[in-house]
Formats: sequence, C-alpha cells, structure tokens
Amino acid sequence: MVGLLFSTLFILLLLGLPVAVVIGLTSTTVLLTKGVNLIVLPQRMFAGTDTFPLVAVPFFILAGDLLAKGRVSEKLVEFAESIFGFLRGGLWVVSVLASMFFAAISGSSAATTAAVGTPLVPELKKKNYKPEFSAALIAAGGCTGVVIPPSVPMVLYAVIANESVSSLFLNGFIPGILMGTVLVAIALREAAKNNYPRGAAFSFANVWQTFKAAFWGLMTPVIILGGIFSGYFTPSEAAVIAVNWALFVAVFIYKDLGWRDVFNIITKSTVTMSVVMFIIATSSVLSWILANWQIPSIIAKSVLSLSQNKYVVLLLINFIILVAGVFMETASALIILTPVFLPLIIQLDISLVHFGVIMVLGLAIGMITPPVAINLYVASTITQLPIERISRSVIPMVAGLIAVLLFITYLPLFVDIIF
Amino acid sequence: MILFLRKISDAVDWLVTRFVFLLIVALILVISLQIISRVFFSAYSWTEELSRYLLVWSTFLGASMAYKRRSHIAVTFAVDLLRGWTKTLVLWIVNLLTIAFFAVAIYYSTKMISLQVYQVSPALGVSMRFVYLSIPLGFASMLVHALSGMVEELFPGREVKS
Repeated sequence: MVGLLFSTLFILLLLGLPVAVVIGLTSTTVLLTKGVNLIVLPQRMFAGTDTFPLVAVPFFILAGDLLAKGRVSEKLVEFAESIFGFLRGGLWVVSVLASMFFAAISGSSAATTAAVGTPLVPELKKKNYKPEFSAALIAAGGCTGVVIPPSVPMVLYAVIANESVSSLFLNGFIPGILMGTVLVAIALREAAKNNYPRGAAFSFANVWQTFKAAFWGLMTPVIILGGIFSGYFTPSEAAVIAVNWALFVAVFIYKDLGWRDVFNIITKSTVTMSVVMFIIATSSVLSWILANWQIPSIIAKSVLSLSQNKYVVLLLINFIILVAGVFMETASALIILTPVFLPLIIQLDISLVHFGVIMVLGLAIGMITPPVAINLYVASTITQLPIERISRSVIPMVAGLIAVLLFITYLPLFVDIIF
Repeated sequence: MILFLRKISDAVDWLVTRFVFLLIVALILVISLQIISRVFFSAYSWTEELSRYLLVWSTFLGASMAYKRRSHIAVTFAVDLLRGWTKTLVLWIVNLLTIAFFAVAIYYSTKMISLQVYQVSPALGVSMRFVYLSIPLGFASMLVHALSGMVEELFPGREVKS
C-alpha cells in the first residue's frame, strides 16, 4: 500500500505530468486497488477547496501582482536608497531591504523578485555592480517573500495543519529579518572585497522626499498586517483589503494602470492561484487516503524507530525539505510533505507553528536552488543573464540561508521566541 | 480536425477567462461587503459561504485557464533529458494519462451531482448542485484543452496555420 502509493507518485512525477494530475492519478490508483467508490474523488476535491482561509491565496497573489506592475516598487526602492545608498555596496543593501519590504506586501516570492528586480537592475547596471551577484542577491532576497507575512505557503500550511494563519504570520518576522540580515552581510562583504564606491551622501531632506513619494506603498503592509494582528480582520479579509488598496493606489494615486491592465493582471494571478488551488484540490483526496490508512503514522513509527531524538529527526526532516525544494516547486512540495510529517512532529512534541515556519523557510531556499528555482528564473529574465552564471553567485547565499534555517530550527527548542 | 479542436479550445478559454474574471470581481465585492457590514452594521451570514463557493468555482475553471496556458507545475527535468522516440512515447503516456484522469473526474463529479438532489447550502439555501457543477465544467474544459494540446504536440508536422 505505502509502496504502491509512493512508487506511483514518484514515477508519475518523473514522467513530467502536472503535479495536480500526478496526485489525482495516484489517489485514483490507490482508491481503485482498495475498491473504494471513486465518488470520493470529487467529494474530497470540493471539501479541500471549500474553506474560507484559502480565500487569502488568490488575493495575496493579486495584491502583489498589482503593486509589482505599478510604480509602487520603484518608489520603495528610491526610499530605501535614500537611507542606505551611502554605504559601500549600498544598492545591494537596498535590494535586500526592498525585497523584505515588498515581502510584507506580497504573499509570493516570484512577485517579490520581479517587483524589486525590475526597477533595480538598470540602476545596478549603470553603477557597475557585478551583474551576476546582483541577480543572485535579488533572487535570494525574493525568498523572504514567503517568510515575511503575508505568505501564501503559510496560508496553505495553516489550512493543512489546522493552525491559525495569524500565528504563522506572526512567527515569520524574525526568520525573515534574519534572512535579510545574512544577505546584507554577504553583500557588504562582497562590496568591501571589490572596494565598491559609496553612493550619494545621506540627507534627511532626501529621505523625507522619497518617503512622501513612497507613502502609499509603505502604508500597504501597515494596513494588511495591522489589520490581521489587531484581530480586526481575518487574513482572508485582509487580503481583499490589500487588493482594494492596491487597485486604489495604482488606478487613482499613481494612475499607472488602466482597466485593461487590471483585467490582464487579474487573469494572470487567477492562473497563478488556480495552479496552487488545483493541487490543493487533488491532494485533499490524497490526504484523505493518507489519513484513512494511517500512512503518516506508519512513516512516523519507522522514523522514530531510527531515532527518537527530536534534534536528529528535525535534521533529517530539514534535509528532506531542502532536497524536495531543489526538485519541486514550493507549494506542491509543501502540500505533499506537510500531511506526511505532521504525526511525527506531534509525537515529538514540537510546536506545529514552529514546524510550519521551518517548512516554509526550508522550501523558500528551494526557490534559488536549480533546476527548479523560480526566483532564479525570474532574476534571469530580468537581467538577461544565463541561469548558470547566477547559480554560481547564489551559492554563498544558499549557505547563509541554510544557516538561518538551522538556527530557526534549533534555537526555539531552547528559548521561547514567540510561537 | 486539429484546427477544429484548436478553435473549440480557444473559444472555451475565451469564455472561461471572462467568466472567471467576473467571479474574482464578485469575490472581491462579497468580501468587501462582509467587512463593511461587520464593521458598521451586523455581519451577514451568507457572505462567507458565498465567497467559499466563488473560490471553488474560480479554482476549477481557473485550473483550465492554467492548463490552456501550460502554467501547471510539473517536474520536467527528467523528461527534458529525453530525445527522439523515447520522448514521443513519454509524451503519449503523459497526455493519455492526463486525459484519463480528467475523464474519470468528469464522470464521478457528474455522478455526485446526480446523487445530490435535495441537499441545499446552509446559509444561501441554493441547491448544492450549482456549486458542484463547477467541478465537471472545469474538468471538461481541461479535457478540451488537453485533447487539442495533445493533437498539436504529437502531430507537429501538421502544424496549424493561424
């Protein structure tokens, strides 16, 4: 049973079928061999998507897409530059900080990479920053997109693990800031090594000027996160407010989007969200199968027979997550792996919120590890550099982010950070 | 034949894209209404239910838009290594399996609808058939795109001139 399930899953994945179809076909195969009425298929697909927290998924994607297309990200970059531009390698620092900031607006990493990369790349080129390092840094900075709230993968995890979306969001800040700090450190070291010139001197007048221009964008995370953490809105409602706000800013304040653009952006983000939601749909058939035959508990038992030590098990899980991230896209890996790991995590008495953060952070690193590395592809499209060259520069950043992952995995076991 | 399939697939997508756009706009409006009504008046009971159903509809129809645009995520690095007849063989298998899954999903979701005669939704009181209908419709348009895509992919010699 377990063998049949995983071998079917693995073979179909390797054949290159769409992940949602792979999961659906695997479930169908198992149901057929077990003689279960296939009506379970549509029933579970419906139940899997018929949940209110998932409403946040399309709208955190849409809000990010709307703001990435408009002038908001450009203004944010200018604001960050007015503060940190004076540093040696200041533009690199700006690109990381702008990514972190956009991460607090957008729920996806690819959108963050695109939003920050598009206005920054021409300027980085003009000032002669090393292009492949710049591209790698923008891609790596994009990883904070799903760790700093709001975050689509965190919503997915929360729905699967039956945890609160808000508490996952709340615990994303510290890891996200740590990721940013590590990336800034790597960038500063590289800049010092190559003896980069400093940018324009720091001036308060300039900061104030760019702050005013960026104000509308800067308000977005205040509204979204303030609304969620004050308990005033549910995350799904906050996502819709973010969309309304983004539409208002893009159409009425900056006036850079026409209604035709809005139609196109909505269509594009509908496609993006349906890809994720369709995987959610078919995988809820698989989760039903897993739960019905208690497969995760069987896996948990066999892992625990190897080691009962939670530090060792977490190391093993981290390794699996990182490898999965190399070959699979974030949402699909998360949707497949989470139900498999949950019983193990519960038995080891690890907080499910803590594990969610580990899972999302680990898979976020997968966005810059080829062959399946969405952020590298986005960065490569923007900079016109081949993936191979960017990949070489991204290695120290991957190492740095893995260090953050291990830190976030083990530290909370000793100290209560939040959770 | 190829041209015919392509035309149907394009027409279905044109219609679905516009319909899903309306669903998403409706979803934004319904949830905005939910927030406004809760903050200023008292909460409506039906907004959450309606938004869930709109999400289900946009998921299955949106999945067909994603299929048409070849946006569905797949692990392709292994297949990309293949050349010649092995590649063609794998493409055949992939297409046929996908079509088989869509057919199974259409058959059983239609069956589910035919079994749900009396069930109505708790807050809105609409028949659940209208909600479930999204599933066979979404899979049916995916099936159309899959058939048209398969024919174009496997008989590249007879490329459609458009």
